[in-house]
Amino acid sequence: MNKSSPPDVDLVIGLCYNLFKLIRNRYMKGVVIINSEMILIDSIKELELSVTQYMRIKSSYDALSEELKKNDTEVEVYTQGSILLGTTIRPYRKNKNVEYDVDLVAQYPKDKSTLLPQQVRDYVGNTFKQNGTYASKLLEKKRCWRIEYAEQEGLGFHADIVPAIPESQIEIQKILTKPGFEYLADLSVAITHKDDDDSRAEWLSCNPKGYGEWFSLIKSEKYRTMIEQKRSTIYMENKDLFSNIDEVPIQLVKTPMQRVIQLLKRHRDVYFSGKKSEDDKPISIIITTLAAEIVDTLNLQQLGFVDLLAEVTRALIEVERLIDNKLYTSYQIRSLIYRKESEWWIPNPVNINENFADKWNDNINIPRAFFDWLKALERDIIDNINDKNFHKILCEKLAVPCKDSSENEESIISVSSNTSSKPWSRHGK
Amino acid sequence: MVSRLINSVEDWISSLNNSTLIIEDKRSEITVSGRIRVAYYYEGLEDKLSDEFNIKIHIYKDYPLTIPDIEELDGKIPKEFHMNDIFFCLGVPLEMLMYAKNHSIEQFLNRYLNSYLMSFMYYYKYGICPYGDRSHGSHGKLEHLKEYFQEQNDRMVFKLLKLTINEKVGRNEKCVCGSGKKYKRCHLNTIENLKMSIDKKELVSTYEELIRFVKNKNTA
Repeated sequence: MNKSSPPDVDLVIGLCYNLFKLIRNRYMKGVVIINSEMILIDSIKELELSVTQYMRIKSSYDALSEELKKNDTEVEVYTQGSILLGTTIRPYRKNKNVEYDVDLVAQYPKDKSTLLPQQVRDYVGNTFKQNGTYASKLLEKKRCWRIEYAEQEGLGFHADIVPAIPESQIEIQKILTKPGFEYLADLSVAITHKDDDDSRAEWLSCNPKGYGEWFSLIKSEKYRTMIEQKRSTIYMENKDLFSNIDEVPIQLVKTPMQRVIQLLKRHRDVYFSGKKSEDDKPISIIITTLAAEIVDTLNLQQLGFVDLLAEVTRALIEVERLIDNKLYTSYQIRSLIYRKESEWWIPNPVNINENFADKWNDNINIPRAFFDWLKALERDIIDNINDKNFHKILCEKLAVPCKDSSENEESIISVSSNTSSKPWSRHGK
Repeated sequence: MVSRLINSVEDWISSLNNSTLIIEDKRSEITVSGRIRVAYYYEGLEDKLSDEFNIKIHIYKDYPLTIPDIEELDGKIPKEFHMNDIFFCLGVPLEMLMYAKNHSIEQFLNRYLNSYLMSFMYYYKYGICPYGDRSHGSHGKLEHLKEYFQEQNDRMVFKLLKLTINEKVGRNEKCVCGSGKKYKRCHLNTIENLKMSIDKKELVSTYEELIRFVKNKNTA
């Protein structure tokens, strides 16, 4: 840079004005501001399961669980993936919204040494094949059985049921986790994998419950009070559905951490939709893991949605720069994505020898697509947050119908716990 | 002075949309009355609520020494919600006086009237105040001072309040709160701020009231 050149006056004025806006937005929230936080959250709400939709899905998988219990009373059916984490967002492929995936595990308390993988697959498969209602909707996949549900009132979904048994003690002993999460290894399960009808099913190790625990620990550490507050709001709004607050599924409570993940996933889907690289788009578990790891490293508590989104995006972009930095060697201070013997690595926090970026090493277009997407994310969302057309831009980038904002003519005052005072009275009970 | 007060009130009114408010300049007060339309977005709770209220604000000409009184004319807000006879209980007096000292009437109304109406709307829908409310009477005053001094303990609040009223501590001496820090790095600013914005008589009466309250609480 040429040190002797005079500072650009327009640039300085522009910076001062932005600084002024920043300060005003931060400290004078009492003044009328329709803020970007509200616009972002409203858009995501359009794209997520409503309380009733969630409860309808829940009753469907409760019915599946009942059915499996008829054959084996000891089976435990639980959710995994985005339904468990509360990060579900309407999937979007080939330029249209598609049905939701509901991922379930059916775990039988059996001894691994006495069983073949195929037998465990059959526990689930045979139960549904014998049942008239499910047999026609049943489909065998590599690792699961899929049941298709007919679309009802705009809600289409399928349930993927993964047959599983507890992992053997020998295997559990070998599992390494991120420091501090060693006890979660005990929750590991053995699942089955079968490439096609002719090949033999094999065992695979995974830990969906442990992963869920890890995620939920980070979430509740940062957002404990907010979770309680929101849960009681959901309860009070849906007293017809829940008889007490404990019945409100924790997955319905969305912290900014989950919202950020929902937004990233949706933006990814829309960004890659119709592109040649659509098959190379980053998988959700990578986005979820990286975002949660970043939230975990932030020292700030209860960060709001916009601030958190900016932090996470910035950190993700920073990751690319750090990848080949040899200074980061031990797990604790290693970059979130790193290379080991020229292989890409994004370890599973509850089993660090499992590599979520496995496929990146077979196809160089996958990491390329990931880093291209991050740049697009910054350009499309972060750079436009203060734009006066933010609402319009966001609708386009997330592929949501842009509602006419005439209802927004009402001046909306944004309030939060630190901008409001508490009423008091001299007398009373 | 009075014209500045009126200007600030006018600024506040012009910042509101869809509201029809009339200002009247009376002998000892300025009144603002009419319909105010408000809509709130609850950050962190992701909830939007809007409503209309028919209100009358009495702004006394000695503001900020006296806090405005606000009443609601349609009986929409029940007596059970924070009310003193007919006026809104916007907050703890000491806290409001301190805020008023350094803020215009526009800022005061933005903070306290907004907080009050939005708390009420939320309370009306869900049965709780979104960001909490104060306990009634002396208990609420004590809560505020604990928050203000950032102390958990009743005794420490009294120590600090006493210091505000009549004691002197050197800037470099250790703070009375027991943090081990120098006074200038600890409670100096909070205490000086309180001293400057609140009349000594008011502080003494608050101190006595709270001492009585804690004694009664402990003997009960």
